Amino acid sequence: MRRLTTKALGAFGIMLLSMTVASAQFPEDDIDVIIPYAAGGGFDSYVRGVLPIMQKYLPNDVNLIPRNMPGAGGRKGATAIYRARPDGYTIGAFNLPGLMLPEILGERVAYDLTKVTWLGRLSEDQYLLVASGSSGITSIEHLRALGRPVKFTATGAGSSAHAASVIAARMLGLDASVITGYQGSQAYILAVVRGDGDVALGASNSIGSYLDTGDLRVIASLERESSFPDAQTPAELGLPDLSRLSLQRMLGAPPNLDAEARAVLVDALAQALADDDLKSWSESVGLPYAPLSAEAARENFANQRALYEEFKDFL
Amino acid sequence: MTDALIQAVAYLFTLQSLSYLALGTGIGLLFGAVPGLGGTTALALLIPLTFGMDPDAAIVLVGGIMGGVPFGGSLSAILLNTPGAAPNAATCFDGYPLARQGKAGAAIGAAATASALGGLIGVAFMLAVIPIAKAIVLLFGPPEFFMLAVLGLSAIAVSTGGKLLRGLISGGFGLMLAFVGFDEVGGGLRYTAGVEYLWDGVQLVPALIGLFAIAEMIQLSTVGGRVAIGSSTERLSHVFDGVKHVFGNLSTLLRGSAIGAFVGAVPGIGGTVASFLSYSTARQLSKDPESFGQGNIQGVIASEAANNAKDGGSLIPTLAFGIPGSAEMAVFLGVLVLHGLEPGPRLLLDHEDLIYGLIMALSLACVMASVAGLLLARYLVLITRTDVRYLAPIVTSVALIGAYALQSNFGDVIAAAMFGVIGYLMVRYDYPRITLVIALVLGSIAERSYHQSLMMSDGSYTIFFTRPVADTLLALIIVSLALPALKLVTRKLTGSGHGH
Repeated sequence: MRRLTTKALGAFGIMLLSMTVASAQFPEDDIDVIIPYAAGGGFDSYVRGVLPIMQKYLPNDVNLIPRNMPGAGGRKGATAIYRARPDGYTIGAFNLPGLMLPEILGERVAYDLTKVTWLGRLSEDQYLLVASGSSGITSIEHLRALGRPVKFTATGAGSSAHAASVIAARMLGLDASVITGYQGSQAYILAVVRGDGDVALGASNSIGSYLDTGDLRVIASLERESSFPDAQTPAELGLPDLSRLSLQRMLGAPPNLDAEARAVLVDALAQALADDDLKSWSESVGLPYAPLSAEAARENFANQRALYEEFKDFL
Repeated sequence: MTDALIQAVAYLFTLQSLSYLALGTGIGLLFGAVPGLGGTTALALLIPLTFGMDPDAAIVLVGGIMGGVPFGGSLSAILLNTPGAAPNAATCFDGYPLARQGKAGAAIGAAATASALGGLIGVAFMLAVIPIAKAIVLLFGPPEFFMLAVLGLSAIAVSTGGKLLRGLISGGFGLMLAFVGFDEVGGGLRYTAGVEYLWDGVQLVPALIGLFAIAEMIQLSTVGGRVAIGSSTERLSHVFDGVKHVFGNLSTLLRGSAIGAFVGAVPGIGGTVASFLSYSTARQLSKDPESFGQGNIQGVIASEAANNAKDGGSLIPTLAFGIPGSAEMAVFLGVLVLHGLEPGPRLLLDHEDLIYGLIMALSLACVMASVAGLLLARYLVLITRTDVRYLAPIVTSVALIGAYALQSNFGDVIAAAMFGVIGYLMVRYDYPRITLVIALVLGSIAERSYHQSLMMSDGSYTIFFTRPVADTLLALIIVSLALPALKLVTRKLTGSGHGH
């Protein structure tokens, strides 16, 4: 009996041991992190900033290797992540709503974001509605009283900035048109300074220096908590949904990701996003992170999808 | 300003930064010379490396690369008729004929000198203009971009080497290619035939690699021999003749540099237009325009002066507004952001020392690259004396690897190969390739800014005629198109005819 117990305990011990060995096995090798945009952009910087820190929290001293795969407005990289083997050795970054919009607008894309395994959110840029400092436009009421369609400037048709402009205008009850095709956020913000259009939605980090010089004026904040005390907020405007419009960067993995790999990756990302080194780096370079856990990121995705679905007929 | 300048100079002349600068310049020369590789690739590969460096060192390295790339690209343009990057394409017109005549040394000497001086003039322009940079950048909206693109397109008419109809045909073909892909303004896909690669449109760099590098190798292979068909016993000591030519053509140099710096400062137009405009202006103002394309060294000087001067100019919108003037500048912005330097009007005030460090590094790198080029010229010229049987396989492989290295995208390799065949057929049937390139570069800019202008004006065409800068550009377009015709008329009237 005693021998049997010993044997049973021994077997149990071996089982436990083998389990810990198994869970310590992932990752056995370096992990590719696909960035669907070019090296050097804002998107790239956020991902490259977090990887070295996240790597610290992975077992077995493996590396997270950033791989830029630009092309087709991010579709190429997103497809590559989506189609990769769900073994945890290929993960990647996603832009919301940018990569979600083609699907919603009925374009046939080779990925399905509803099936992606979300690992967490890195950042969220909330919008400010800005007008040229010399335009005399100071409030939403001003825009309503223009007596002509309000002109927004934005990046390409079907981009995040374009969709946000159209939806914000509808929520605010503005008759609006969007001048599209500017090459990047800095370019369409400059277009407002120059007077190509009346207003634009910009993230606070892309407009900061123009506010100091008086070239731009914030006429409304779409942030949940306004960083500009004078600006009207979604709550004050009675339109809390306005704050759902934003530009988000999430980390994700192929559908049906191996459970063990998922646990390790989600944990490492969560620890990295709470790491003091990341926080101090992020502050020093002015790239604010807005972490969400894997679970919250999944809910956030569903929430974002519902929002853009609701307005898809106007996009 | 002077304090920051002195500080920057003091920092630059330390052993550490001089080695970074030399390293950057070397990388720049190499990446510039290999078709397909270029400043963008070099900077993108170096981003992870600069991560751990302090900002001063990173900036010096980047300055070295940006200073070395343009001249590196002119070497392959002259020796192999293969521009290292798009802005070097205009250097091929006269640089390569010179190489074929056995005068590659002189062409390299002229390119090196024009590059160094052009680069310095560009930087001086930038320093002079920084205080009014904002006003300049704000003057250029969509209507002005449209006019600028049309001005560039009108250079097609004078870049056809006397074959106007053929030039227009290949220019039209280039415009058709320019409209392939996702329409940024309207939001639809055009002419992609379901191929995902074409979503981003026909890519310029693989097209250039094919049209020039590969087409040239096919063409050379069909005839055999070597690039230089001039007397092979000729000494290689013509390098300093080339240097002297630059000082004998100072007006070409200054005009080219001014055009380069100015076009560079307009975001989104880029170096290709700068060197083409400079080239076509030099040709139009020349007393002997027919000699251009046959190996007139002024063509090399005009193109390379503009190509290097544009870098100083393009730093203006990049630094002051965070708006990259080129793909290279876009990556450079990434380097800045990773080191916590937020591009924008305040960058120039808050980090004056870094900016001057960059400017000094860029200037010194232009000179270093040119000196290195002059020293190496006699060895580089041997390339033109290598048998095509050995040259063609090497150049073709390097070119295709370059196409792949651009974005690690196999589609680019296929595109380069296809353009190689198209380019060869164009050479064979005597259609100018360069007008195709100009149209490919400018087609999408012209279209986008045209639509944006009309969206600004609610569909009224008056927007193109009621803005002073747009009007000025329109006048330039008319002059540049009318000038050749006027010259022809006056020549007929005076009956001189220059012996044609």
